[in-house]
Amino acid sequence: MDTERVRVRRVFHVARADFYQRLRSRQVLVVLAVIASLGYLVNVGTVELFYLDSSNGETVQYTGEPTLAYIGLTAGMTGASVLLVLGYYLLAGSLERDRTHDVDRLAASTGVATRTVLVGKWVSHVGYVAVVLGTLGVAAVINHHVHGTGTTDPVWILGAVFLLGLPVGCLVAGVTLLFHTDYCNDLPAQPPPGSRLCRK
Amino acid sequence: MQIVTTVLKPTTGTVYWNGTDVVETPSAVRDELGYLPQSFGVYPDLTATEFLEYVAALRGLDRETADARIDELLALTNLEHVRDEKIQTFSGGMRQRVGIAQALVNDPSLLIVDEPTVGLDPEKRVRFRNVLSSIASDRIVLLSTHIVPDIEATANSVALLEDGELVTHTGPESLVEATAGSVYEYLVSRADLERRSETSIRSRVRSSGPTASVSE
Repeated sequence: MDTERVRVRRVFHVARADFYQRLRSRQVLVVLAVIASLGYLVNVGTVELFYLDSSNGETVQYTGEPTLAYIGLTAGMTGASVLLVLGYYLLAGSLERDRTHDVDRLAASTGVATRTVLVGKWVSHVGYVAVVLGTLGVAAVINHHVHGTGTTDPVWILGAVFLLGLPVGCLVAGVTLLFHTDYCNDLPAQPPPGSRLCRK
Repeated sequence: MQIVTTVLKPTTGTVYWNGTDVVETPSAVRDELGYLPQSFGVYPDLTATEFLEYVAALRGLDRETADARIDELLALTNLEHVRDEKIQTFSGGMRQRVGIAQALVNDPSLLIVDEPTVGLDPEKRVRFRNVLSSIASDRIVLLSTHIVPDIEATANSVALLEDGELVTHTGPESLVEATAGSVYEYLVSRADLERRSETSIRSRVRSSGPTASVSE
């Protein structure tokens, strides 16, 4: 098998193992429930998003009608904000989990390179972000169907949620991994605890 | 063991595999290595098949080879009936068999097993030793253990280490021969054991040979 195919296969399996391990835990249900609830609160107006206009010397708050665009926009902004503020805590722990379960020791004895593992972990993170945004998006679609005005079109709502949330999620996924692997660039002869995945 | 498997870098010294310094070129041994660490780690929420697929991918196997090999190993380790169950539902012995299967997934020419029978009951230990002996016929198996019967049953070459220093490297028979005259056995009847004090029994053992010693 050529090197590139081996690398792609390794990335896929690192991502798949990490994604399954994360998604099959009960903790993820709590996270998704909280995210869906937050999206609901924003969409029904309990947590209100509005536009401030002070151009005439008087501040006026404009709150949007619950149209398709408004619901999509607020859900997308909620997703992006949550990921920006809490994404690190949602995504952190992937490498730590490998250390806790001692899977890293096994991986370190194989020919897999650190960067391949990290790319796989990043793909898994992005997959998790997609699940979070998908949950938020589906909740927003239901909200629009129940509370919104006009015809419900899931494509526009989900599109907005992913358009706003996914780039932030991808960035936070990368930053999270960066914070957990910053010592990999200068590997001493005797690695510090938890750095067993670090190999040139 | 972690140095030999290139998981850790040594502070001093080196390791050679087929004449190649594996500290400098770890890939020389990694491609031919199967490893069962002492604290064998798994993703507990993955099924046995999923976990073996993961290890097979890390070891660089293509999908067809991996699938065939996994079927073969699940049969060898008698895990076929639980192949789609999560590893967290497995007993200690079953987990250890997953460990053996993952160590053999790439059909390694060098298999390193570190304290593999710790925590297994006697029956499973014997079964594990038999598996190990059967697969050792066509590859090098490096077994690290504190359990002497495991060595007696499986090893044809023994390296004895004390505080990281090599004391001796020989066959099991030569090792036993080397201890001839230094090992004593003293049988005490139950009645004698109850009647005599521990100190008295120890002195009798010491007097039975000039170099006899009694461990605390």
